[in-house]
Amino acid sequence: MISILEFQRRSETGPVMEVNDFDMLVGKRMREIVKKYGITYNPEELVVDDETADKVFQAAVEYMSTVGLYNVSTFRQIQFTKEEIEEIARDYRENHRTQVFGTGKEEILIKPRTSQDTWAPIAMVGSTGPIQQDWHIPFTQLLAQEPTNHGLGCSGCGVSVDGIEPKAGTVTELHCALWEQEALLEGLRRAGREGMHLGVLATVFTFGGVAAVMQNGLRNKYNTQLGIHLMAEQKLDYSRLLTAYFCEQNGMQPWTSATAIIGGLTGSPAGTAVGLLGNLIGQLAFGHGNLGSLFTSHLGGNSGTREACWVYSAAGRAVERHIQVPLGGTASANHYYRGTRVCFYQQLASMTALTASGLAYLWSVGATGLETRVCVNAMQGISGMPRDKVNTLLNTILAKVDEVMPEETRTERYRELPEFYDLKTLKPKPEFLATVKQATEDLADMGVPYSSELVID
Amino acid sequence: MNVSDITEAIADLEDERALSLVEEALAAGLDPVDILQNGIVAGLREIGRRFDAEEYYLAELMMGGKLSQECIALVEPHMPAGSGAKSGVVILGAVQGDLHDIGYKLVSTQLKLAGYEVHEIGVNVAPMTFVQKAQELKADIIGLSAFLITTLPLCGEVVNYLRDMGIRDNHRVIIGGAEASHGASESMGCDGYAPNAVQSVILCDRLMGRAATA
Ligand code: B12
Repeated sequence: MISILEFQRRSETGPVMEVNDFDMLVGKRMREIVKKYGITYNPEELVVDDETADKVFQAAVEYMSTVGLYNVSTFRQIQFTKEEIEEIARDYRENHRTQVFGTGKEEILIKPRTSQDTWAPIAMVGSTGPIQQDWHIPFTQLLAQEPTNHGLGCSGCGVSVDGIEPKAGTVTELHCALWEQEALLEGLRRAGREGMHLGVLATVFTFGGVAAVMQNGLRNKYNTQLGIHLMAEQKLDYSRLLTAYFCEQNGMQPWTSATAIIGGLTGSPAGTAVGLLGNLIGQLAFGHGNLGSLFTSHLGGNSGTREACWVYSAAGRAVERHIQVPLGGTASANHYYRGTRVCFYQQLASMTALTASGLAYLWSVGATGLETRVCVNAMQGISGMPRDKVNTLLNTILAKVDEVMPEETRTERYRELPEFYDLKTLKPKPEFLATVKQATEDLADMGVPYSSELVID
Repeated sequence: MNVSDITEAIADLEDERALSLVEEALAAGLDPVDILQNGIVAGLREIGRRFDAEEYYLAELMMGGKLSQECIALVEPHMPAGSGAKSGVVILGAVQGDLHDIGYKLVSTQLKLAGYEVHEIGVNVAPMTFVQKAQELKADIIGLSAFLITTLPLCGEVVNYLRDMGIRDNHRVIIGGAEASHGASESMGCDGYAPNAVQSVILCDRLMGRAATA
């Protein structure tokens, strides 16, 4: 493996270029590479075959060894040889990584998984959207009291604390983050699940802020991951290298989360799958983490589409066959349709594609405890399902999304929790409950294998 | 030769061909305004159409933007005085702590297409840097991109500097990005918000006192 210090050396000696020129290099090379390896998006086969997965891996090796990474702090490209990239993959493949999070009865073990495994990925759910101070604690409690949830995965960002807004890179960022940690712990306490994994630290992401929250003891090695993820499209900065170094020195797990956007610089779904994998390898290269994670969406923020499912599968299955790092993802959906059938169908589709492509954990399944329960119940039945059956199911669900989307209302803003839940009783509101029930019945009719134990209340 | 050849070369992102066609057209004495409007700008419009049709992606938009700027630089010295009046000068960037740049790059492309001189000043830009750049480049409009709860308040800092330095009237301030909104724009004392690139052009045109071009 390449040391983090060596990353600094390369950051100081690689070719100097403007960030826009690097971005264009990404776009141009990706087009050529996708063509060279003959990778094509196939909407009929959203969970890809071995041949496609292998091509995506080879293409990502070429991408990483010709485009590499870019340090925005030094305006230099960080270059690698093909052998170095292959060596990183081999090291992960031959020395399987595992990771324990949580403590006591909340301990979870994350280990590599394959697309054929009949055991389901570990499910977690935290908040992804903005959180208001008055419902931060009940929200955490609500998520934690759901038995199918094994960790918070990530924790959404509080909008303000007593009128003070968290401002990036300033004292208020830290002030709000510290309040938030207390709120999270209180939520877990109320649910009787103090030992639970808290996931990636969300509100603070400057290195100084991260270090301060860690020193305070509110976060621990067993319950936290620190973000070292690249800005999409292969970029890093010194803040990320510092955080990676901090993790390594302190025995902490970095949050290794690859991103590539469909229609962005990496272009087509095929380019995006290769870009996603390249981004992941880049982060494993300097972060040396035990886990990886994938995220894609369309330019407008839409996810849970056919293209997104295919991208997840192509990158996920390439990891399954060539890297075998325990891989995470999110059962994502178009959040402008939150609380509608569209959102539930898409969540189910994303979860299905990820589970059937060998992912080991889902760090965000649904956005409320109820959605998590429904999704996790189906996940068990999907695990180990033959590929052709999964593909038929995915096509049925996504055809239904196309059909009902025009009938549903797209909201301009993220709809917040109090619209769906009564925060005093921590129970879903009748309208929300009815939509979840209806969507679940629809999905069962489409062939989603729910077990009889599923209770929607 | 025909200016539509230039359109085609730009739309197909053929760098060398486009540049030499522009030179040829100028040498052949074709009207520079025609070359600009019906050749270069039309080429960029076609790139925009292909982007909307998902034939092109973000990288192609950026390449097209760069290529057309190079072509415009060739034509500019030949433009009749006054004809090349630009729509305005805009500086664009993501505020301190924010690394999301895809959104404002799209805004940048649309504004350039509408005749604005746009300066992208990057991500994670400190409030004072926006102010200094705006003064240095005599920017009409400062465009702030904020995608996060923790970065949105930084837009207000830019307005505060302009106010406290007594130069608030020299620059209009607009905001965009996932966390930005009309309400946020108003409460921070900005001059406007736009949800997407096309609306950004309409907003800038309005602030520049022009009829919308989009
Ligand atoms: C891609 C992405 C990333 C990429 C960014 C890559 C890049 N090079 O830009 C990466 C992986 C780096 C990233 C990181 C993070 N992200 Co992010 N990211 C996104 C995502 C999925 C898409 C954003 C995007 O570029 N969309 C494509 C553009 C084209 O779409 P658009 O926004 O509609 O663009 C238009 C308008 O915004 C407008 N516009 C944009 N700028 C401007 C400027 C002006 C002046 C005007 C007038 C208009 C305008 O015009 C654009 C063109 O039409 C959003 C989800 C979402 N719904 O937005 C989350 C999102 C913005 N990210 C989020 C978060 C939390 C993060 C992280 C904190 C995650 C973490 N825990 O580490 C980090 C923060 C990094 C940082 N310091 O900035 C949250 C923000 C939540 C919040 N409200 O605070 C979102 C909303 C996801 C979510 N639902 O949780 N992210």
